[in-house]
Amino acid sequence: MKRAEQVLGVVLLLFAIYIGRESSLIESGAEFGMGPGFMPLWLAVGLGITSAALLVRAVVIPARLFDPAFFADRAGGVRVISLLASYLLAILLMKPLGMPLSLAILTAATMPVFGSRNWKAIALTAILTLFGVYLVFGRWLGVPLPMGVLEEILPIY
Amino acid sequence: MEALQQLMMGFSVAVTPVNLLYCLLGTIAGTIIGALPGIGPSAGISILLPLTFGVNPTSAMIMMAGIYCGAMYGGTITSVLINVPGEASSVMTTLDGYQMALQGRAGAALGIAAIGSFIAGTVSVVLLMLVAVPLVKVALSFGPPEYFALMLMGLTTISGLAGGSALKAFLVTFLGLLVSTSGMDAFSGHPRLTFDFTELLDGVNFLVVAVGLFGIGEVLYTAEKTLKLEFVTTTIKNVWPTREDWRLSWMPITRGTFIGFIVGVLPGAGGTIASFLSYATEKKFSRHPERFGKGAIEGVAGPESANNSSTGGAMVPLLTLGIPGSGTTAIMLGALMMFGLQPGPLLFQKNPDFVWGVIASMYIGNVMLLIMNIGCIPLFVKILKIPNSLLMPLIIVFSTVGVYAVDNSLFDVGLLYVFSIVGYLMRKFDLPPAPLVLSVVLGPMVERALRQSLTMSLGSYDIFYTRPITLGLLLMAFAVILWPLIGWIRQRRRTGTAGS
Repeated sequence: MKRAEQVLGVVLLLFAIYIGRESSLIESGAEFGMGPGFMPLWLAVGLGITSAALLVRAVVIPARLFDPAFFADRAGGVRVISLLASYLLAILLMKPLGMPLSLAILTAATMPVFGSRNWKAIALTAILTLFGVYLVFGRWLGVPLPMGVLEEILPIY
Repeated sequence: MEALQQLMMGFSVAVTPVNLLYCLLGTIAGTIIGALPGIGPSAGISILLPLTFGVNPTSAMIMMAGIYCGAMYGGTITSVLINVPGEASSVMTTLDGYQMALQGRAGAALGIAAIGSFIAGTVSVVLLMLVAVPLVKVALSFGPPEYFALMLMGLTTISGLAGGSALKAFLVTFLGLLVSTSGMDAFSGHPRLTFDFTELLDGVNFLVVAVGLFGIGEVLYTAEKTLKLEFVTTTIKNVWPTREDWRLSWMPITRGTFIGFIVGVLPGAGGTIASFLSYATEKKFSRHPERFGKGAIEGVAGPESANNSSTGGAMVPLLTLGIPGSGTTAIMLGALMMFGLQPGPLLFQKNPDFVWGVIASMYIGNVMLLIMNIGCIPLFVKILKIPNSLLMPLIIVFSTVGVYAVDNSLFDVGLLYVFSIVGYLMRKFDLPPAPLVLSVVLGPMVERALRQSLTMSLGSYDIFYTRPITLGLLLMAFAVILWPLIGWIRQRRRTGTAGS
């Protein structure tokens, strides 16, 4: 984790420099006091100072005081990455397939990550998610959900 | 007398069937949320908030207050039965509550926790009423400079008291304030930090950040850990305390109530610190401190009273000044603004039915929670057995649709997943999430107050040190910033002296 914290410090420092540069392009003064660029610029300076301090701290503190690795175990890391991949898939599918269907797929993809191996239960939960989201949010609460391919079959209005 | 009349009016609002229903839903949801490890009141409120869209603000706030109070009650169940705190403020309860369960006294531990929580919760609402009315009168004289200083103090205090590294908390605060500046500038209309995304012209909605950090971010963290819950195999009986239990518990409950309320009022402190302080106090006051950690009922009664009492305390700055002191109340503040209400002293004048309706509902909520937590514990234990493989996808689905429903924007859903990664990384790097949410909510208000102050003074910064209240608050904020630095220098000196 020592290396990871050093990387975090560098990334945040670079982010602060980038934001500071972007903010410096905006007017920071106004007739009375401050303009629109004032706050972001000084906040970027604050972020830069604290991230530099974090970086120095991560360099100075001995490695034994940090957790040995970023992921406690390999399986845990695989689960997190699988979940992130599922999120990405859901986002990509949300417009073409619609929100209820993509969330049903996301549910089906997520359940095994949390240990479910019962495929019947997974399929049933995914189907319930599809209709649950449609009925509760789409029909009952009137949220204009993107329905994608299901627009004709399950109309919102 | 005035407060009593207003409270009566509040009760007339709170006892309408709709508000009673929302109060009941909030307390049930809060107890479940509090009991489930990994989901705290912040996550619960942000995930369930979209369900209140279209509901009137009073009912929505009654439900949120119910969740907040309920979560404090619910956290006890897991602490006692599985030695895992349902949420952070129940950590201390695990020490003696679990030991009591192992000795076959789970019922007594849960009973005294519920009764102590009821007493503390109710007294804290009385204290809230007593403190709020005079504080509102003072706050009405505040101008933009005082508000700027007050918010700055709130932000620095929550960073200073966040626990862990103060450096990390300040870093997170800067990050949150930067997020809050994204979008079109309210004064000049100039776009800032939008990275050419037109969707960011309206800024980042606080709910996206809150749900990302506390909701889906927590799901990612849970996926890595895969917590397995093991219950104490005991039947829960004799929930009502014995005479001896009462004798041992009444003072811890009383002390916990006052500690909790005072700590709750302080920005950044909240239920967790209140319960820690209460536990330490009880151990110090006890004639037999060696019993603590081995099933002492005082170790359950005090901290549980303190964390419930802190909810009433936390509502003081939120309702009277419009300044939240914790992540949970920051989400409540953001929600109120979404409903078109401006929290602060004027709320008491412009919307007394709202404020007093919410306060009255907190009394009712505490009664509901007492009944539920005495009578329905086995039911909540059953709910705890819902597997993560079902619960986690449910959280993802609710969070995703809920965030989409705010602005009907798929961009917000994408941003939600980005903030969930941020939330996960923050957990990994031990960066506190509460200052981030608080600064996202307070950021625009801080900037507005600063710019209004400078307009008032024609651009002169003198305005911040020529007004005594402003100066006092700013000095306090600087003291909080310097405190960790002084501590660090003193520690270095001590280490140096010891070394030489």
